[in-house]
Amino acid sequence: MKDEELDRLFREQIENLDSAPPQLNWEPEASFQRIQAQLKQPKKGGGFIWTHYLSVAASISLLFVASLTVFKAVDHWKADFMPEQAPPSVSYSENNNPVPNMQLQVMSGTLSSSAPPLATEMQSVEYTKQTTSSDHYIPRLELVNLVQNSNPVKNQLLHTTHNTSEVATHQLSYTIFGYELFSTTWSPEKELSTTSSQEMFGHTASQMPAKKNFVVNLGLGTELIGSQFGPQANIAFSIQTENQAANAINEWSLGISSTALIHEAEGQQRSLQPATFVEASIGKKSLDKKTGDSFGVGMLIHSDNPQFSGSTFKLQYTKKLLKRINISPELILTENFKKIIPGFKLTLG
Amino acid sequence: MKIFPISGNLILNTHIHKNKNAIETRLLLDDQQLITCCRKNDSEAQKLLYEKYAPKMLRLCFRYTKNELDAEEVLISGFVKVFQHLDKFEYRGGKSFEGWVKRIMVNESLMLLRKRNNFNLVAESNAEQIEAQTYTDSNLAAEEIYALVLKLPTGYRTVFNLYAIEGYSHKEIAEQLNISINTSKSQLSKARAMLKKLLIKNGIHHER
Repeated sequence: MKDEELDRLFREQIENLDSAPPQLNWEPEASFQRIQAQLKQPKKGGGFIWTHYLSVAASISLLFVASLTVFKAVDHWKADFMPEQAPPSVSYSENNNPVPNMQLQVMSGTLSSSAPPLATEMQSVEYTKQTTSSDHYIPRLELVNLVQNSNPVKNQLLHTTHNTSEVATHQLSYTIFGYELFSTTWSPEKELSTTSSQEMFGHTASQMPAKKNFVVNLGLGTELIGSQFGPQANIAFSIQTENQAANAINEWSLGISSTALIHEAEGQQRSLQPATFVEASIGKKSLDKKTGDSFGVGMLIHSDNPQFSGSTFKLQYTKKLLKRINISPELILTENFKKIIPGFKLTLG
Repeated sequence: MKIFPISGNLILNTHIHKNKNAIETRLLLDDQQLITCCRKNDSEAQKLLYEKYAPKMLRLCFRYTKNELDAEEVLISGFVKVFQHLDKFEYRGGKSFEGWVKRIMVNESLMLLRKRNNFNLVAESNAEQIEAQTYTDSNLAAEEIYALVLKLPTGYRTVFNLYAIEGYSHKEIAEQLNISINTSKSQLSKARAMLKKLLIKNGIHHER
Protein backbone atom coordinates (compact mmCIF):
# COMPACT_ATOMS: atom_id res chain seq x y z
CA MET A 1 0.00 0.00 0.00
CA LYS A 2 1.33 3.38 -0.99
CA ASP A 3 1.69 6.18 1.55
CA GLU A 4 -1.02 8.30 -0.08
CA GLU A 5 -3.43 5.34 -0.08
CA LEU A 6 -2.72 4.69 3.56
CA ASP A 7 -3.36 8.33 4.43
CA ARG A 8 -6.59 8.38 2.46
CA LEU A 9 -7.81 5.15 4.07
CA PHE A 10 -7.28 6.48 7.56
CA ARG A 11 -8.67 9.93 6.75
CA GLU A 12 -11.86 8.63 5.16
CA GLN A 13 -12.54 6.00 7.79
CA ILE A 14 -11.87 8.31 10.72
CA GLU A 15 -13.86 11.21 9.28
CA ASN A 16 -16.87 8.94 8.94
CA LEU A 17 -16.96 8.39 12.69
CA ASP A 18 -19.44 10.83 14.15
CA SER A 19 -20.06 9.20 17.50
CA ALA A 20 -17.97 9.43 20.66
CA PRO A 21 -15.36 6.66 21.06
CA PRO A 22 -17.14 3.62 22.51
CA GLN A 23 -14.36 2.96 25.00
CA LEU A 24 -15.01 6.28 26.79
CA ASN A 25 -17.39 6.70 29.66
CA TRP A 26 -18.37 10.20 28.64
CA GLU A 27 -21.34 12.14 29.98
CA PRO A 28 -22.21 14.85 27.49
CA GLU A 29 -24.63 16.68 29.80
CA ALA A 30 -22.04 17.04 32.54
CA SER A 31 -19.50 18.41 30.06
CA PHE A 32 -22.04 20.92 28.76
CA GLN A 33 -22.79 22.10 32.30
CA ARG A 34 -19.08 22.73 32.79
CA ILE A 35 -18.93 24.68 29.53
CA GLN A 36 -21.89 26.80 30.63
CA ALA A 37 -20.28 27.43 34.01
CA GLN A 38 -17.07 28.60 32.35
CA LEU A 39 -18.97 30.83 29.95
CA LYS A 40 -20.73 32.53 32.84
CA GLN A 41 -17.44 33.44 34.48
CA PRO A 42 -16.18 36.94 33.70
CA LYS A 43 -14.27 36.90 30.47
CA LYS A 44 -10.54 36.80 31.14
CA GLY A 45 -9.77 38.75 27.99
CA GLY A 46 -11.94 41.71 28.99
CA GLY A 47 -10.39 41.85 32.42
CA PHE A 48 -6.98 41.69 30.91
CA ILE A 49 -7.71 44.60 28.60
CA TRP A 50 -8.58 46.89 31.49
CA THR A 51 -5.73 45.59 33.62
CA HIS A 52 -3.42 46.21 30.69
CA TYR A 53 -4.69 49.75 30.18
CA LEU A 54 -4.63 50.56 33.87
CA SER A 55 -1.07 49.32 34.23
CA VAL A 56 0.08 51.23 31.15
CA ALA A 57 -1.67 54.39 32.35
CA ALA A 58 -0.25 53.98 35.85
CA SER A 59 3.28 53.40 34.53
CA ILE A 60 3.10 56.43 32.23
CA SER A 61 1.73 58.65 34.99
CA LEU A 62 4.34 57.41 37.42
CA LEU A 63 7.18 58.06 34.99
CA PHE A 64 5.76 61.45 34.17
CA VAL A 65 5.38 62.51 37.79
CA ALA A 66 8.70 60.99 38.85
CA SER A 67 10.71 62.74 36.16
CA LEU A 68 8.80 65.96 36.81
CA THR A 69 9.64 65.75 40.50
CA VAL A 70 13.29 64.96 39.88
CA PHE A 71 13.83 67.84 37.48
CA LYS A 72 11.89 70.24 39.65
CA ALA A 73 13.99 69.19 42.65
CA VAL A 74 17.20 69.63 40.66
CA ASP A 75 15.99 73.04 39.57
CA HIS A 76 15.34 74.10 43.15
CA TRP A 77 18.63 72.65 44.31
CA LYS A 78 20.48 74.62 41.65
CA ALA A 79 18.68 77.80 42.63
CA ASP A 80 19.40 77.31 46.33
CA PHE A 81 22.95 76.01 46.39
CA MET A 82 24.71 76.76 43.13
CA PRO A 83 26.71 80.00 43.04
CA GLU A 84 25.59 82.51 40.51
CA GLN A 85 27.37 82.27 37.22
CA ALA A 86 30.12 84.71 36.56
CA PRO A 87 29.23 87.42 34.09
CA PRO A 88 30.59 86.98 30.63
CA SER A 89 34.13 88.18 30.17
CA VAL A 90 33.11 90.41 27.34
CA SER A 91 30.76 93.16 28.19
CA TYR A 92 29.96 96.72 27.36
CA SER A 93 32.01 98.04 30.20
CA GLU A 94 35.19 96.47 28.89
CA ASN A 95 35.10 98.45 25.70
CA ASN A 96 35.08 102.12 26.30
CA ASN A 97 35.27 102.95 22.64
CA PRO A 98 31.86 102.41 21.29
CA VAL A 99 31.77 102.46 17.56
CA PRO A 100 30.10 105.63 16.47
CA ASN A 101 27.54 105.44 13.78
CA MET A 102 29.74 107.53 11.58
CA GLN A 103 32.40 104.84 11.65
CA LEU A 104 29.93 102.24 10.59
CA GLN A 105 28.79 104.37 7.74
CA VAL A 106 32.37 104.95 6.67
CA MET A 107 33.08 101.28 6.93
CA SER A 108 30.13 100.28 4.82
CA GLY A 109 31.14 102.85 2.29
CA THR A 110 34.67 101.55 2.05
CA LEU A 111 33.65 97.97 1.58
CA SER A 112 33.65 96.67 -1.92
CA SER A 113 30.31 96.07 -3.56
CA SER A 114 30.78 92.32 -3.29
CA ALA A 115 31.09 92.44 0.46
CA PRO A 116 27.95 91.81 2.45
CA PRO A 117 26.27 95.05 3.37
CA LEU A 118 26.02 96.19 6.94
CA ALA A 119 27.74 93.25 8.48
CA THR A 120 27.47 94.89 11.84
CA GLU A 121 23.72 94.54 11.82
CA MET A 122 24.01 90.90 10.97
CA GLN A 123 26.45 90.44 13.80
CA SER A 124 24.27 92.04 16.34
CA VAL A 125 21.26 90.04 15.18
CA GLU A 126 23.16 86.79 15.45
CA TYR A 127 24.32 87.53 18.94
CA THR A 128 20.91 88.51 20.10
CA LYS A 129 19.54 85.20 18.97
CA GLN A 130 22.32 83.00 20.18
CA THR A 131 23.27 84.40 23.52
CA THR A 132 21.54 85.04 26.75
CA SER A 133 23.95 86.89 28.92
CA SER A 134 25.38 89.42 26.53
CA ASP A 135 22.58 90.08 24.19
CA HIS A 136 23.87 93.43 23.01
CA TYR A 137 27.45 92.51 22.62
CA ILE A 138 29.08 93.77 19.46
CA PRO A 139 32.68 92.82 18.79
CA ARG A 140 33.86 96.36 18.31
CA LEU A 141 37.53 95.55 18.22
CA GLU A 142 37.25 93.78 14.91
CA LEU A 143 35.12 96.53 13.48
CA VAL A 144 37.73 99.03 14.40
CA ASN A 145 40.42 96.89 12.81
CA LEU A 146 38.32 96.54 9.75
CA VAL A 147 37.82 100.24 9.42
CA GLN A 148 41.48 100.91 10.05
CA ASN A 149 42.58 98.47 7.40
CA SER A 150 39.92 99.70 4.98
CA ASN A 151 40.35 96.55 2.97
CA PRO A 152 37.53 94.71 1.29
CA VAL A 153 36.48 91.85 3.52
CA LYS A 154 35.55 89.53 0.73
CA ASN A 155 37.52 86.25 0.95
CA GLN A 156 39.40 87.59 3.91
CA LEU A 157 39.60 85.56 7.05
CA LEU A 158 40.29 87.30 10.28
CA HIS A 159 41.50 84.70 12.69
CA THR A 160 40.85 86.64 15.79
CA THR A 161 38.91 84.38 18.13
CA HIS A 162 36.49 85.37 20.78
CA ASN A 163 36.57 83.29 23.88
CA THR A 164 33.65 84.29 25.92
CA SER A 165 31.46 82.55 28.41
CA GLU A 166 28.46 82.55 26.12
CA VAL A 167 26.09 79.75 26.94
CA ALA A 168 23.04 78.21 25.36
CA THR A 169 19.89 77.68 27.34
CA HIS A 170 18.29 74.25 27.21
CA GLN A 171 14.75 73.59 28.23
CA LEU A 172 12.83 70.57 29.44
CA SER A 173 9.09 70.85 29.00
CA TYR A 174 6.22 68.67 30.03
CA THR A 175 3.20 69.05 27.85
CA ILE A 176 -0.25 67.53 27.77
CA PHE A 177 -2.00 67.64 24.41
CA GLY A 178 0.54 70.24 23.36
CA TYR A 179 -0.16 72.58 26.28
CA GLU A 180 2.87 73.25 28.45
CA LEU A 181 2.40 72.03 31.97
CA PHE A 182 5.79 72.78 33.39
CA SER A 183 9.24 73.61 32.10
CA THR A 184 12.69 74.02 33.49
CA THR A 185 15.76 75.57 31.90
CA TRP A 186 19.46 75.14 32.42
CA SER A 187 22.61 76.50 30.85
CA PRO A 188 25.49 74.09 30.49
CA GLU A 189 28.91 75.76 30.62
CA LYS A 190 30.22 75.72 27.09
CA GLU A 191 32.83 78.03 25.73
CA LEU A 192 31.82 79.95 22.70
CA SER A 193 34.41 80.15 20.01
CA THR A 194 33.84 81.94 16.74
CA THR A 195 36.06 83.67 14.33
CA SER A 196 35.33 87.24 13.57
CA SER A 197 34.97 86.57 9.84
CA GLN A 198 32.21 84.11 10.56
CA GLU A 199 30.54 86.68 12.74
CA MET A 200 30.88 89.29 10.04
CA PHE A 201 29.09 87.12 7.54
CA GLY A 202 26.51 85.99 9.99
CA HIS A 203 27.69 82.39 9.81
CA THR A 204 28.00 81.88 13.48
CA ALA A 205 25.05 79.58 14.08
CA SER A 206 26.95 76.38 13.51
CA GLN A 207 29.63 77.40 15.93
CA MET A 208 27.31 78.56 18.65
CA PRO A 209 25.97 76.15 21.24
CA ALA A 210 22.56 75.23 19.85
CA LYS A 211 19.53 75.61 22.04
CA LYS A 212 17.94 72.25 22.76
CA ASN A 213 14.44 71.56 23.95
CA PHE A 214 13.58 68.28 25.59
CA VAL A 215 9.87 67.66 25.54
CA VAL A 216 7.83 64.97 27.25
CA ASN A 217 4.39 65.03 25.71
CA LEU A 218 1.20 63.17 26.52
CA GLY A 219 -1.08 63.05 23.51
CA LEU A 220 -4.58 61.88 22.82
CA GLY A 221 -6.42 61.16 19.62
CA THR A 222 -8.30 58.66 17.55
CA GLU A 223 -7.02 56.07 15.12
CA LEU A 224 -8.56 54.06 12.31
CA ILE A 225 -6.79 50.81 11.41
CA GLY A 226 -8.39 48.80 8.64
CA SER A 227 -12.10 48.85 9.42
CA GLN A 228 -11.73 49.41 13.15
CA PHE A 229 -11.18 52.60 15.05
CA GLY A 230 -10.79 53.64 18.64
CA PRO A 231 -9.29 56.12 21.07
CA GLN A 232 -5.56 56.47 21.12
CA ALA A 233 -3.12 57.69 23.78
CA ASN A 234 0.57 58.26 23.43
CA ILE A 235 3.59 59.43 25.35
CA ALA A 236 6.70 60.62 23.58
CA PHE A 237 10.09 62.00 24.51
CA SER A 238 11.43 64.45 21.94
CA ILE A 239 14.65 66.29 21.42
CA GLN A 240 14.27 69.52 19.48
CA THR A 241 17.06 71.69 18.17
CA GLU A 242 16.38 75.11 16.80
CA ASN A 243 17.89 75.81 13.43
CA GLN A 244 17.74 79.59 13.25
CA ALA A 245 19.20 79.74 9.78
CA ALA A 246 16.46 77.49 8.38
CA ASN A 247 13.81 79.03 10.60
CA ALA A 248 12.90 75.53 11.70
CA ILE A 249 13.06 73.08 14.55
CA ASN A 250 14.49 69.62 13.99
CA GLU A 251 12.86 66.99 16.12
CA TRP A 252 13.72 63.41 17.06
CA SER A 253 11.10 61.54 18.96
CA LEU A 254 10.66 58.17 20.70
CA GLY A 255 7.45 57.05 22.32
CA ILE A 256 4.71 54.55 22.93
CA SER A 257 1.22 54.73 21.49
CA SER A 258 -1.70 52.54 22.40
CA THR A 259 -5.01 52.34 20.58
CA ALA A 260 -8.10 50.61 21.95
CA LEU A 261 -9.67 49.38 18.73
CA ILE A 262 -13.39 48.89 19.02
CA HIS A 263 -14.41 45.50 17.67
CA GLU A 264 -18.08 44.96 16.98
CA ALA A 265 -19.31 41.67 15.61
CA GLU A 266 -22.81 40.87 14.48
CA GLY A 267 -25.06 40.31 17.48
CA GLN A 268 -22.25 40.78 19.94
CA GLN A 269 -21.37 43.45 22.42
CA ARG A 270 -18.58 45.81 21.50
CA SER A 271 -15.19 44.87 22.81
CA LEU A 272 -11.97 46.86 23.11
CA GLN A 273 -8.90 45.26 21.61
CA PRO A 274 -5.71 47.16 22.37
CA ALA A 275 -2.79 47.57 20.00
CA THR A 276 0.37 49.07 21.45
CA PHE A 277 3.26 50.29 19.31
CA VAL A 278 6.66 51.64 20.19
CA GLU A 279 7.38 54.46 17.75
CA ALA A 280 10.31 56.55 16.58
CA SER A 281 10.13 59.54 14.30
CA ILE A 282 12.20 62.30 12.80
CA GLY A 283 10.79 65.55 11.54
CA LYS A 284 10.93 69.26 11.13
CA LYS A 285 8.58 72.00 12.23
CA SER A 286 8.48 75.74 11.95
CA LEU A 287 9.75 77.90 14.80
CA ASP A 288 6.21 78.87 15.72
CA LYS A 289 5.37 75.12 15.72
CA LYS A 290 2.28 75.70 13.60
CA THR A 291 3.44 73.69 10.61
CA GLY A 292 5.68 70.73 10.18
CA ASP A 293 5.92 67.14 9.17
CA SER A 294 7.65 63.98 10.25
CA PHE A 295 8.24 60.40 9.24
CA GLY A 296 8.06 57.60 11.72
CA VAL A 297 8.29 53.84 12.15
CA GLY A 298 6.67 51.71 14.80
CA MET A 299 6.72 48.15 16.05
CA LEU A 300 3.76 46.35 17.60
CA ILE A 301 4.62 45.20 21.11
CA HIS A 302 1.20 44.02 22.25
CA SER A 303 -2.17 43.39 20.66
CA ASP A 304 -5.34 41.41 21.24
CA ASN A 305 -6.69 42.47 17.88
CA PRO A 306 -7.07 39.67 15.30
CA GLN A 307 -6.06 42.06 12.51
CA PHE A 308 -2.46 41.67 13.61
CA SER A 309 -0.43 38.50 13.63
CA GLY A 310 3.25 37.71 13.41
CA SER A 311 5.72 40.57 13.25
CA THR A 312 3.88 43.85 12.81
CA PHE A 313 5.38 47.21 11.94
CA LYS A 314 4.01 50.57 10.88
CA LEU A 315 5.18 53.41 8.69
CA GLN A 316 3.62 56.80 9.23
CA TYR A 317 3.78 60.32 7.93
CA THR A 318 2.59 63.05 10.26
CA LYS A 319 1.49 66.46 9.11
CA LYS A 320 0.94 69.24 11.60
CA LEU A 321 -2.22 71.08 10.69
CA LEU A 322 -2.38 73.53 13.53
CA LYS A 323 -0.15 74.03 16.52
CA ARG A 324 -1.66 71.11 18.39
CA ILE A 325 -3.46 69.04 15.76
CA ASN A 326 -1.70 66.35 13.75
CA ILE A 327 -2.92 63.99 11.06
CA SER A 328 -1.04 60.81 10.20
CA PRO A 329 -1.77 58.50 7.31
CA GLU A 330 -0.08 55.19 8.01
CA LEU A 331 0.58 51.73 6.68
CA ILE A 332 0.63 48.75 9.00
CA LEU A 333 2.61 45.75 7.79
CA THR A 334 1.51 42.59 9.54
CA GLU A 335 1.63 38.79 9.20
CA ASN A 336 5.41 39.04 8.79
CA PHE A 337 5.11 41.68 6.03
CA LYS A 338 2.59 39.61 4.05
CA LYS A 339 -0.36 41.92 4.67
CA ILE A 340 -0.66 45.70 4.56
CA ILE A 341 -3.43 47.52 6.42
CA PRO A 342 -3.99 51.23 5.85
CA GLY A 343 -4.56 53.46 8.84
CA PHE A 344 -5.24 57.04 9.76
CA LYS A 345 -4.60 58.89 12.98
CA LEU A 346 -5.76 62.23 14.29
CA THR A 347 -3.96 63.38 17.42
CA LEU A 348 -3.96 66.30 19.76
CA GLY A 349 -0.60 67.19 21.19
CA MET B 1 -40.47 30.86 24.50
CA LYS B 2 -37.79 31.17 21.81
CA ILE B 3 -38.60 31.74 18.20
CA PHE B 4 -36.08 30.68 15.57
CA PRO B 5 -36.57 32.21 12.16
CA ILE B 6 -35.99 29.60 9.46
CA SER B 7 -36.37 30.43 5.80
CA GLY B 8 -39.21 32.78 6.45
CA ASN B 9 -41.07 30.35 8.71
CA LEU B 10 -41.17 30.51 12.45
CA ILE B 11 -40.50 27.42 14.44
CA LEU B 12 -41.52 27.42 18.05
CA ASN B 13 -38.74 26.11 20.16
CA THR B 14 -40.74 25.53 23.29
CA HIS B 15 -39.32 22.86 25.57
CA ILE B 16 -37.13 21.81 22.75
CA HIS B 17 -35.58 18.84 24.50
CA LYS B 18 -38.78 17.42 25.88
CA ASN B 19 -40.91 18.01 22.89
CA LYS B 20 -41.49 15.13 20.49
CA ASN B 21 -40.57 17.40 17.64
CA ALA B 22 -37.20 18.27 19.11
CA ILE B 23 -35.23 16.05 16.75
CA GLU B 24 -37.09 17.43 13.80
CA THR B 25 -36.45 20.97 14.98
CA ARG B 26 -32.74 20.29 15.37
CA LEU B 27 -32.55 18.96 11.85
CA LEU B 28 -34.25 22.05 10.53
CA LEU B 29 -31.81 24.40 12.23
CA ASP B 30 -28.65 24.70 10.23
CA ASP B 31 -25.29 25.86 11.50
CA GLN B 32 -25.79 29.45 10.43
CA GLN B 33 -29.05 29.81 12.32
CA LEU B 34 -27.62 28.15 15.40
CA ILE B 35 -24.57 30.41 15.25
CA THR B 36 -26.77 33.49 15.01
CA CYS B 37 -28.67 32.40 18.13
CA CYS B 38 -25.46 31.42 19.96
CA ARG B 39 -24.06 34.88 19.33
CA LYS B 40 -26.97 36.21 21.36
CA ASN B 41 -25.83 33.93 24.19
CA ASP B 42 -28.83 31.65 23.73
CA SER B 43 -27.92 28.65 25.89
CA GLU B 44 -30.41 26.37 24.14
CA ALA B 45 -28.85 27.09 20.78
CA GLN B 46 -25.43 26.54 22.36
CA LYS B 47 -26.58 23.17 23.58
CA LEU B 48 -27.90 22.19 20.15
CA LEU B 49 -24.60 23.16 18.58
CA TYR B 50 -22.71 21.30 21.28
CA GLU B 51 -24.79 18.15 20.87
CA LYS B 52 -24.27 18.24 17.15
CA TYR B 53 -20.48 18.44 17.25
CA ALA B 54 -19.29 17.30 20.66
CA PRO B 55 -19.19 13.52 20.01
CA LYS B 56 -17.12 13.93 16.86
CA MET B 57 -14.86 16.48 18.52
CA LEU B 58 -14.35 14.29 21.57
CA ARG B 59 -13.20 11.57 19.23
CA LEU B 60 -10.79 14.02 17.63
CA CYS B 61 -9.42 15.12 21.02
CA PHE B 62 -9.03 11.53 22.15
CA ARG B 63 -7.15 10.72 18.94
CA TYR B 64 -4.53 13.27 20.05
CA THR B 65 -4.50 12.89 23.81
CA LYS B 66 -5.26 9.16 24.13
CA ASN B 67 -6.55 9.87 27.61
CA GLU B 68 -10.22 10.18 28.48
CA LEU B 69 -9.91 12.90 31.09
CA ASP B 70 -7.55 14.95 28.96
CA ALA B 71 -9.80 14.57 25.93
CA GLU B 72 -12.79 15.80 27.92
CA GLU B 73 -10.84 18.75 29.32
CA VAL B 74 -9.71 19.71 25.85
CA LEU B 75 -13.27 19.36 24.54
CA ILE B 76 -14.61 21.66 27.26
CA SER B 77 -11.94 24.33 26.86
CA GLY B 78 -12.37 24.08 23.09
CA PHE B 79 -16.12 24.64 23.22
CA VAL B 80 -15.68 27.54 25.63
CA LYS B 81 -13.41 29.15 23.04
CA VAL B 82 -15.84 28.34 20.26
CA PHE B 83 -18.68 30.15 22.05
CA GLN B 84 -16.50 33.03 23.21
CA HIS B 85 -15.04 33.69 19.78
CA LEU B 86 -18.06 32.92 17.67
CA ASP B 87 -18.25 36.58 16.67
CA LYS B 88 -14.92 36.18 14.87
CA PHE B 89 -16.16 33.27 12.80
CA GLU B 90 -17.35 34.04 9.30
CA TYR B 91 -19.82 31.48 8.00
CA ARG B 92 -19.03 30.40 4.44
CA GLY B 93 -21.51 27.59 4.08
CA GLY B 94 -20.94 23.86 3.86
CA LYS B 95 -18.70 22.46 6.54
CA SER B 96 -16.95 25.75 7.27
CA PHE B 97 -18.15 25.81 10.87
CA GLU B 98 -17.14 22.20 11.51
CA GLY B 99 -13.73 22.96 10.05
CA TRP B 100 -13.35 25.97 12.34
CA VAL B 101 -14.37 24.00 15.43
CA LYS B 102 -11.97 21.20 14.44
CA ARG B 103 -9.14 23.70 14.15
CA ILE B 104 -9.84 24.99 17.64
CA MET B 105 -9.97 21.46 19.05
CA VAL B 106 -6.71 20.52 17.33
CA ASN B 107 -5.02 23.65 18.68
CA GLU B 108 -6.29 22.94 22.19
CA SER B 109 -5.08 19.34 21.95
CA LEU B 110 -1.67 20.43 20.73
CA MET B 111 -1.44 22.95 23.53
CA LEU B 112 -1.93 20.17 26.04
CA LEU B 113 0.50 17.87 24.25
CA ARG B 114 3.16 20.57 24.04
CA LYS B 115 3.01 20.97 27.80
CA ARG B 116 3.59 17.28 28.33
CA ASN B 117 5.77 16.15 25.46
CA ASN B 118 8.95 17.07 23.76
CA PHE B 119 8.30 16.11 20.18
CA ASN B 120 12.01 16.09 19.40
CA LEU B 121 12.60 13.27 21.86
CA VAL B 122 10.15 10.66 20.77
CA ALA B 123 11.51 7.22 21.39
CA GLU B 124 10.76 4.68 18.75
CA SER B 125 8.79 1.86 20.20
CA ASN B 126 7.15 -1.20 18.86
CA ALA B 127 3.49 -0.92 18.23
CA GLU B 128 1.38 -2.49 20.88
CA GLN B 129 -0.75 -5.42 20.08
CA ILE B 130 -4.32 -4.47 19.47
CA GLU B 131 -6.61 -6.33 21.70
CA ALA B 132 -9.46 -8.02 19.99
CA GLN B 133 -12.52 -5.84 20.26
CA THR B 134 -16.04 -6.49 19.23
CA TYR B 135 -18.00 -3.78 17.57
CA THR B 136 -21.67 -4.10 17.08
CA ASP B 137 -22.26 -1.33 14.62
CA SER B 138 -21.50 -1.06 10.98
CA ASN B 139 -18.36 1.00 11.53
CA LEU B 140 -16.25 -2.02 12.36
CA ALA B 141 -13.39 -1.24 10.03
CA ALA B 142 -13.47 2.45 10.88
CA GLU B 143 -13.35 1.78 14.61
CA GLU B 144 -10.48 -0.65 14.15
CA ILE B 145 -8.57 1.85 12.08
CA TYR B 146 -9.21 4.53 14.69
CA ALA B 147 -7.87 2.15 17.35
CA LEU B 148 -4.73 1.56 15.31
CA VAL B 149 -3.92 5.27 15.35
CA LEU B 150 -4.16 5.22 19.12
CA LYS B 151 -1.48 2.56 19.22
CA LEU B 152 1.13 4.88 17.78
CA PRO B 153 3.59 6.63 20.11
CA THR B 154 2.62 10.23 20.89
CA GLY B 155 5.04 11.90 18.44
CA TYR B 156 4.20 9.62 15.53
CA ARG B 157 0.51 9.83 16.28
CA THR B 158 0.49 13.61 16.49
CA VAL B 159 2.37 14.10 13.23
CA PHE B 160 0.25 11.44 11.46
CA ASN B 161 -2.98 13.00 12.76
CA LEU B 162 -1.95 16.46 11.65
CA TYR B 163 -0.59 15.48 8.25
CA ALA B 164 -2.78 12.59 7.08
CA ILE B 165 -6.09 13.34 8.80
CA GLU B 166 -6.15 17.12 9.27
CA GLY B 167 -4.16 17.98 6.16
CA TYR B 168 -1.46 20.18 7.70
CA SER B 169 1.79 20.67 5.80
CA HIS B 170 5.14 19.67 7.26
CA LYS B 171 5.98 23.35 7.66
CA GLU B 172 2.84 23.95 9.70
CA ILE B 173 3.47 20.84 11.79
CA ALA B 174 7.04 21.93 12.43
CA GLU B 175 5.81 25.33 13.64
CA GLN B 176 3.05 23.88 15.79
CA LEU B 177 5.23 21.26 17.48
CA ASN B 178 8.40 23.30 17.54
CA ILE B 179 10.34 20.68 15.60
CA SER B 180 12.20 20.75 12.30
CA ILE B 181 10.52 19.91 9.01
CA ASN B 182 12.83 16.91 8.67
CA THR B 183 11.78 15.61 12.09
CA SER B 184 8.15 15.93 11.03
CA LYS B 185 8.82 14.02 7.80
CA SER B 186 10.79 11.36 9.61
CA GLN B 187 8.09 10.82 12.23
CA LEU B 188 5.39 10.63 9.58
CA SER B 189 7.39 8.03 7.68
CA LYS B 190 7.85 5.94 10.82
CA ALA B 191 4.18 6.29 11.71
CA ARG B 192 3.13 5.06 8.28
CA ALA B 193 5.52 2.11 8.46
CA MET B 194 4.14 1.16 11.84
CA LEU B 195 0.53 1.47 10.70
CA LYS B 196 1.19 -0.74 7.68
CA LYS B 197 2.61 -3.42 9.96
CA LEU B 198 -0.34 -3.09 12.29
CA LEU B 199 -2.83 -3.37 9.46
CA ILE B 200 -1.25 -6.61 8.28
CA LYS B 201 -0.79 -7.95 11.78
CA ASN B 202 -4.44 -7.40 12.65
CA GLY B 203 -5.72 -8.64 9.36
CA ILE B 204 -7.58 -5.47 8.49
CA HIS B 205 -8.16 -5.38 4.80
CA HIS B 206 -9.65 -2.39 3.19
CA GLU B 207 -11.33 -2.93 -0.12
CA ARG B 208 -11.76 0.12 -2.26
